[in-house]
Order: sequence, then structure tokens, then C-alpha cells
Amino acid sequence: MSGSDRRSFLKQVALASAATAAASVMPGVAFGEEVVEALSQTGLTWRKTPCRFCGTGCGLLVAVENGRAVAVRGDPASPVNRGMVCVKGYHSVQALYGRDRLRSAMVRRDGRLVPVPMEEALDLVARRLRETVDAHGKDSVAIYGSGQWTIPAGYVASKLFKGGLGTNNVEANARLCMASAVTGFMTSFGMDEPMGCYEDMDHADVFVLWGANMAENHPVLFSRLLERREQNAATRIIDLATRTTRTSYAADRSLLFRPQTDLAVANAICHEIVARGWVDRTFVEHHVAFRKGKTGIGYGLADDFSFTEEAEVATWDEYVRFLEEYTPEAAERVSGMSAADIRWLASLYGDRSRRVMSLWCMGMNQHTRGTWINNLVYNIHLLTGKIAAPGNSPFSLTGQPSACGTAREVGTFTHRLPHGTVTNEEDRAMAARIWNVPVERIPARPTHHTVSMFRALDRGDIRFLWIQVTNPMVSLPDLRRYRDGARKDDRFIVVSDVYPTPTTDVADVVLPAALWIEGEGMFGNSERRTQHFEKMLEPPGEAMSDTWQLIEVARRLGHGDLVPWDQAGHIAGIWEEYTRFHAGPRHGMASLAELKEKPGVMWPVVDGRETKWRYNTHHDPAADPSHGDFDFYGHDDHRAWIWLRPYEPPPEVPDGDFPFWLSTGRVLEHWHTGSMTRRVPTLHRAVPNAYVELNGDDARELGIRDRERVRLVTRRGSLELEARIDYRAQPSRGHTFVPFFDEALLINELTLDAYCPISAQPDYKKCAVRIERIAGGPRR
Amino acid sequence: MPICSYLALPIEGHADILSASLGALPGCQVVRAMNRDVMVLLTETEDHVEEAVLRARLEATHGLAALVLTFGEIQPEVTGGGA
Repeated sequence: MSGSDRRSFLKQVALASAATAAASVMPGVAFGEEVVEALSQTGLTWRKTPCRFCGTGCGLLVAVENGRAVAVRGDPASPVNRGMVCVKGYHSVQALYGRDRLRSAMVRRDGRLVPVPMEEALDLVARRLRETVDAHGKDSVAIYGSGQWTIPAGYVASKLFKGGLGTNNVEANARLCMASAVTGFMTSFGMDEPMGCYEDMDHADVFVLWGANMAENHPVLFSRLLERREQNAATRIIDLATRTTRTSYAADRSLLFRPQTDLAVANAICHEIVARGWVDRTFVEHHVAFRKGKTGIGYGLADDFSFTEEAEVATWDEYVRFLEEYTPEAAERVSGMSAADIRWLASLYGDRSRRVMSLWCMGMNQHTRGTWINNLVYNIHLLTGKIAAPGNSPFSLTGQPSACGTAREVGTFTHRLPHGTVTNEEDRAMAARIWNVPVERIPARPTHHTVSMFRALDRGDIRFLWIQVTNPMVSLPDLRRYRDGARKDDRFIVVSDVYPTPTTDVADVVLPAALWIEGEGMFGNSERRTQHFEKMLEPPGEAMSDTWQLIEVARRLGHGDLVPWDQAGHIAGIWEEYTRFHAGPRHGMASLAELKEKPGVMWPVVDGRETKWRYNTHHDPAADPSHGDFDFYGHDDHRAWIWLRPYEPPPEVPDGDFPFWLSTGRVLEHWHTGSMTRRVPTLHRAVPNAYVELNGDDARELGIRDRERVRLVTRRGSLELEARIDYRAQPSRGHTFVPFFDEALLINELTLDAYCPISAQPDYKKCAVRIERIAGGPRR
Repeated sequence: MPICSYLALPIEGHADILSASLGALPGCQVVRAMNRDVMVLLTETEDHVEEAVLRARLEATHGLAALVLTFGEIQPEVTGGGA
């Protein structure tokens, strides 16, 4: 095909893609003849895959020509994105082709990483792992993965370490992004993951965003909210946040609150709902119970910190007394949000004629009381009975493509198994039976959550750490300590990745990994949708999938019986074995044949049908109609629990020495630590470096101009970077924001490793910082 | 030489001005739906720098409520590392 023919052809494909997307989001839309003709002449062979980046799980179609991915479009058959794609999704396949892609294994010799054959590197990994166990015990070795592990990769990692090596030293970076969502679900409902689905966005009248900048971080889903408002003039989008973002500008109302005080605001909304008589008494009477837990629970800052939650039965009367102190006026004093606005929010939730969806992500989860604020937002929906029904939906968004599918469902955490927890005898017995290992081999006690694991590495309790599909030397809080720990002489670090990163910088062995559609796999997105993708491309050089790397090492360790699959059939074999853990109406998974055919299927799958609204007896086959319209079967009492959770302040607040708040997060163009999106020229050029957002009045007071370099200083370190004023977002007075994608400007050297004691998820949104002019100007 | 397609949604009452404004930008072709206020925008630029500049201009166009990318051609040459 000549160049001009090819361009003409691609324009037809582009036109057809847009028209198809339009038809998906606006049924009945009609275009003229040129579009009809283009639709009939696309020609290319397109194969489906979920996007590699965020947790939305957009369906993509990728065209491959001559062994290379040449085009991407949104999958109009995907109910997630209906043909739409964000700027990262469109550029996703370019992340495969960065020129510094890792193609061969490397081993550190005399301080330098040198290329070695993959077989030699895998032999070394297995030998050092065995030697470390022999010398220091099985809990001296660990694996740390992520919500980007495919489901098969996470499953094999868990099986090898828990069922083979006999250690619970398995964690994933999902601990850093949604552990509080998990503990929120578990404490309120007894089961993880949302009861609703994205289809709720087509039914809701009100969307309340709790600390979620969806316009940048979940842009396709945000487009669905805007589309809903376009179709239904009564729709309202309300942005609750600590800074003004692109989401705030697109919302109908932007309401700001002080960091951590969402706890007080949520309780005040409930206070108002009770005071105004907006409680759905029938729902509460039949489907809700009350619990209270410990208070004054700490922040996990010391290595020897430990915490165990204890649920104590409470009553409706106790709950009402608990709410008494959370008047809207009292919450206004704590939060800065006006009592009138809190009452207005309560009226939206309390209005029986409106369907309300609450959405959140890192703002609520990266929070030293992350579990509590998840509980409190569920409280609002439970009081009003606005839950588990079309358009009435508290919905926790996720940040990684398989945070749900792998980390949460496979259970790649120290305390988890593919079904249940290591502390539960029946769950251990099930794992031992399916894995065909002695039950005694699976330890009954969890070991380290993520922060604790890296502290253990620093102390020397862990000596061997295998890191796959994640970049902790950019993403861990209070980073210096953990980087110094990883560099200690008698630590052995293995890193499987696709590009050089600050994490490969601390590695003793680097294993080149296949990326995404260079292998077969499955991801699970935020709405319980499992999505399969085929192997479409050969990985470069000796790069190998994470799953197969684990299998190769397992065989070298003498655990070949745990991984009996051949290369051609290993994904099918793993899926068959893994889904046995979830068999049954509460979590049944789709067959591989269904996954290959469909653009994802939402579990629980019963008799070949997916479930959109769990716990609703009209939609969920696992819900028992004898309990009425709803059956919250995750708890033995078949009720959802309203928790009495107070406001408690964060561990570090601005003071005279460090007078500003520092919050960190993401931007539209970059995904997490930037190791992939910074290799995509368009995305890199759009936002080449991290920066600090300042409030305009604060900047004027400090004498700082836009684009001037400044120094940020916290109790943990300092960082020089460019100041941006009235740029993408506007922090409130006294606040700053820095994105964390830039490995050259490591903002996490400044953040605090405090965490929610229940979820062990760190709080990246709140610590105290000082701003200094580099030129020695005035200092606040 | 990137080719992209977008769905462009106008602010209510601004479809005509949006269509005209987008169509007047270099490398842009607009195809309006016959029965709804939505239009397909095809863009063709020389390179990714020009594409990024155009994208910024598109987002600043008067009357635009939402712009959603639906297709992008992938550059055939090996792309560079950005980190």
C-alpha cells in the first residue's frame, strides 16, 4: 500500500471508529454517506484487549501488521467505554516500543548490571532464593507485585510463595492504592468489591465525587457522567475535594474541605439525614446493623506498631447519640465547608426521588482513616437505602488494570488466599486441597503488609525480595529509608520489568518482562469485570511474561508439581485451577471460552449470566429473597453494617516550620510512576516534568512567580522543582500539590509513611511542607 | 504523521459555531451527525508535536463541551525513551 493510499485508508478507519463510538453512546445517531462507506471499508484485523493502564478497564481494539501494533481504537462492543478512549489508551501500544526497552537479563557484577542469558539469570534467582531460605528461614524471602500483574501471574506468585515456599511474604502495590477500599467493603459488607457497576452512571441523577479528580484520572468514566447530564437536565455532579481541579470546573458544584475532615462532613450529612427524617426506616430495620470499633488507633509510624480491630455491637440509639456532635455547624468549623452546603448535600442524598451515586478513589483510600471514611460514605447510602440498585450506588474506583482482578480476587496480600484468608482454617484447607500441598505448609499468620515488608527489608528480616510489575523506588512513601534498605550489601533484589527504572537501579538481577499483549492474560476492573486478552505480539529479545518467569523459577526450586502446565496451555490451565476457588453463586467466574468471546464478564457468573447488582434479590442469584429486596450475605447476620467512626486528625499537620499541606497524585497524561507513559513521546512532551502547584495568593505572598524554581522541604527531605500557579488545578490557600510520575523528581522522598491501621494503606495526600525560594527570597 | 478521530460535543446552542471553528483549524475535517448535536472530527498532523499543539487548540475552541478521542494511528518508527 502506498503512503497516500495508507493515509486515506487510515482516515476511513478513524472516521468509522468515531461513528461507531457515537452510535454506542447515542443510539440512533445518523451520519451521511461518507461515514457509511467508511464503516464498510476498514479492512484491518482488530483484536480486543482491556487497556493496560488504569482500573477503568476500557475495551480497546488493536490492529497488528507485520508483527507490530499499528493502530488502536476504542471497542464499541465494550460496555465500559462504548468505543471511547482517553489520551493514554490511544497511546498505549506506543509504550511497547520505547528504545530502551529491556531485552536481556542483567546481573550486577562489581557494582554494574551486565547482560547475561535469561537461563543464567533464572538459575541465579532460584539459587539465591534457596540459599536465603536455608540461611535465614522461609520468611526471609518475599515477593512484591502489583495490580498490573495479570490474574495468572498473581495466582502463580501466590501459589509458589504460600503453597510452595511456605511463607506469607506476598504483597502487591495495590496495598498503596485500594487497601482501604477493601477493608471498607469487608467491614461494612463482609465481602469485597462494589455491589453496583458502571451502568449505574446511566441511571443516577446525582453524582457525588469524594476526592476523585475523575476528569484527569478516570476520563472515560467522567465522560459518561457528562453524557448522562447531557441526556438528563436534572443531573447534578458535585465535586468534594481539597483543591480545585478540572473535575471541579466541569461539575455543577465544587465544595472544598480541609484535609482529613471528610470524616466530619460525612457524619454531618448523616446527622442531617437523621434530623430531617430522611432515613429509609424500612430499609434500615430490615437490612442494617450497627457496629463500633476502636478509636484513637494511631498511624503506624513505628516499626513495632500493631493494631487489631474489634467490632462491638451498637444500636440505633447509640448511633444517633454518636451523631449528635456532628451538626453541620460543628462540621463546618472542622472542615471549612459551610453548614448550608452540608445540608444541601444531605438533601440530595435524602431526597427519595433522586438516585445518587458516590464515587471515590485515592482521596478516600490514601488516608490514615481510609477504612473509616469508606465506612462513613456507605453509612450515608445505607441510611437512605440508596444502594445495590440501578443508579443508587456507592462506587469505589481503582487505579490499576487488575487491582481488583488480581490483587483483590486472587488475593496477593500477606493475609489473603485466592479464597478467603490465611487465618481461616477452612480457607487454608481449600487452598491446600486445590494446590495439592500439605495444609501445614500454608502459614496461618500473616507476616508483612507493604510498608512493613520494606521496613523488614531495611532491618534485614527480609533478605531476598523479588519485585514484579511495579516501581516501588518511586512509589513508596518516605522513600529514602526504603531505597537505602534495598541497597544494603546483604540484600538480594530481583526486578522483573519492561524498562529501566529507579527500582532496577537497586536490583541485583533484572529480568526483562513481556508487556501486556505480548502475552496472554486477564485483568479484572473496578466493576468486577474480568477481561481476557490474547498474545498478539512477540516480546523483544529474551523478555518473558511474569507468569512464565515464576514458573521457570518454581521448577528450578523443585516445585514443578505446582506448575505442571506447558507454555501453550498454561493460561488455560491456570484459569481452570484458579476459578475452582470461586465456584458458586457468590463469586463464580466466567469460563475462558466466554472471556475470549465477550468484552469482559462481571462476576458472580451464575448459569452463564453476569450479575450487575449484588445483594439485590431481583438481580443477584446468590441473594436470598426470604430476606426481602436485599440480602447482604457477606455478613452472617445478612445485614450491612453502619459503623460509628469519629473524626480524628492526621498525624502531621502544617505548623510554623512547615506551614503548607502537601498532597500528591496523578495527571491525565501520565500513569502512576511514568515508566511507560514517559516513553510515549506525545505524553512525555505534554507533561515532561513534575512541578508543584501553588495557590496564586500564596505565591504572591511568597514572591514566587509562575515557572520559578522552588524548594519543598519536609521533615524527611527536600526537592527542587518548578512552581506552577493557576495551572491545571488550583490548590486552596495553604495547600500544594505535586504529581508523582517523575523519577527525576521523587516527591515520595518527602511524603510520610503513616497509614490506616486497619488497611495498612499509606496516606500520600497529607503531610506538612515548607516552600523556599531558591534565590533566597522571603520564606513563609 | 498522526491521524486521529474524535467525537466533539457542543455546548447547547453552539453546534454551528463549533463545527465552523473546528473545520477552520488546519488539518481538521468535521462530519456532523444528521440528527444529533454531535460531530466527528478527523485530524491529520505532521508529527506528534504538531498534534499536541492542535490538541491544545481543539480543547480551547469556543462552544466545545467535550472532546473524546476515538482513534489514533500509531507511528511506525521506533519511539524514544522519555525518562
